[in-house]
Amino acid sequence: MRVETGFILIGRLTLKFLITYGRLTIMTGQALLALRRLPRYLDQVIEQYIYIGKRSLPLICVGSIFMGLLMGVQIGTQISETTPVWVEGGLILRTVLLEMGPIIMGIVLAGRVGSGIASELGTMKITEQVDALRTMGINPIEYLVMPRIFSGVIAFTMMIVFVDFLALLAAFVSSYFTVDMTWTGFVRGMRHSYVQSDVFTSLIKASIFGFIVTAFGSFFGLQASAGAKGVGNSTTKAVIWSSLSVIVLDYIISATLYMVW
Amino acid sequence: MIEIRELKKTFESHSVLDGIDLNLNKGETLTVMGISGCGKTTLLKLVIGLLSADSGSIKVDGKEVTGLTEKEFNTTIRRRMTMVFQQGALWDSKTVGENIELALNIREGISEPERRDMVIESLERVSMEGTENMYPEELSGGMIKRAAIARAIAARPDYLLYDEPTTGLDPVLSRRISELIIKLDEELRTSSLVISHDISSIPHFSDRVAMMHGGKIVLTCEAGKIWDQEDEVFKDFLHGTLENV
Repeated sequence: MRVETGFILIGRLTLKFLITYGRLTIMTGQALLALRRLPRYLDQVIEQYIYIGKRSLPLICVGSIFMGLLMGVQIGTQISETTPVWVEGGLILRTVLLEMGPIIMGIVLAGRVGSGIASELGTMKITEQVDALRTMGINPIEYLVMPRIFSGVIAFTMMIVFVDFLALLAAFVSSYFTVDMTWTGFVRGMRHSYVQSDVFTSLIKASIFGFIVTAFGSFFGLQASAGAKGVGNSTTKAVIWSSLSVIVLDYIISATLYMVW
Repeated sequence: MIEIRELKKTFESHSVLDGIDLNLNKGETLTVMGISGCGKTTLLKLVIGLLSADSGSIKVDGKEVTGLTEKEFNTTIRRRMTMVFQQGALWDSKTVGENIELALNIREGISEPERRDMVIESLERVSMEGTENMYPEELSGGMIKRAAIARAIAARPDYLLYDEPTTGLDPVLSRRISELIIKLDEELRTSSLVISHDISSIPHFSDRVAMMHGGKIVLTCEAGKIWDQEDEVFKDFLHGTLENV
């Protein structure tokens, strides 16, 4: 009996997962097709770019500075006894570019951008604003979803430059105070370990996370059911699904790019 | 003319419409009343293509609309039919003027000055001159309803669908909206399908009335004869003892 219940539960969860991803794929497919009408919705794209990019920048700057400070302390103190300190620069550079920069940005913005989009679209859905759009002959995917996803991809890709730069700078400052790291030593370490493909990895991950966060936010927002509770549930789902997807995809992208490069 | 035959709609296992038969004649205002949750809004959403029917037929001027794609709805039906939503459904981030302009998207070949004129004219028709730069949050409940009506009439539709236009308004505002519906029907010669359970306002703006219950139309009559009806369901509705099936 218990085994049966277990199988039923697994079956239900698998079905739910497949249905959600299936619907998400259809919606993102429609949004990608809608890109051909991008010039028509340029106002929405700019509006969303400001919302996603400009308004997220202070949060992400603070996040990346503290991430860098933390890395400087941890890596510096861990390796200083056995390895020359200048090596730390290279370690931090690769860690920030390959993993910490994109993933911290993805998770932090899943909370800020993903939840913001889900609650905004959810409210529009339950107050019939989305239905009103349809009666006016406007496709909600073209008008609401496509500009958000497009702006998300562009904004995340640009923001990762700030994130990486600030994290490295903060890591140097903290290494200076903890292990007496010099700027020359830090740069020497970075030069020693620098691989150009790491920069591309960082940019690729950021753009994919931008896509994921905005797509999940839009998807769950448009799925919202009636009432404040419905919007709340959609927002929570958007944050959970996008955060988890960022972590899972981070591994898949890393594994794939290691094989490619 | 809108002809609805044997229209059925089920949500999961719950049957909401169970064979609706209804006609909206050219130029008339037909009000469908019934208790909350009986499927009145679902009926409107099926007519304008926001939902798709399980079975049955909806013909608009002889053209079958069930089964049309979203694009076909946009290019045929929604150019001639608009809807006023229960809470107005105005876009919070846009001004009243921009909201109305958005509705003109459905009409092609309108120049910018023409658009502006149409926005101003629509607002004048609902007595909201000078509010085009205001945001929905700055409007009262009655003004939101009127702005929503202005948006609905901007594209000069032949058919107007109203979803509970007087609900949530005090008697004075409710009366004003009723008068506005009559005025617009006369001026624009639209055919209107109104959903309401505000029995005191219905006879003012309607030509005919239909009563919906248990997923079916159980009564139709002229609006002026509504108080003479002996139908049990209608009596229960009036006395507030009618329950959803």
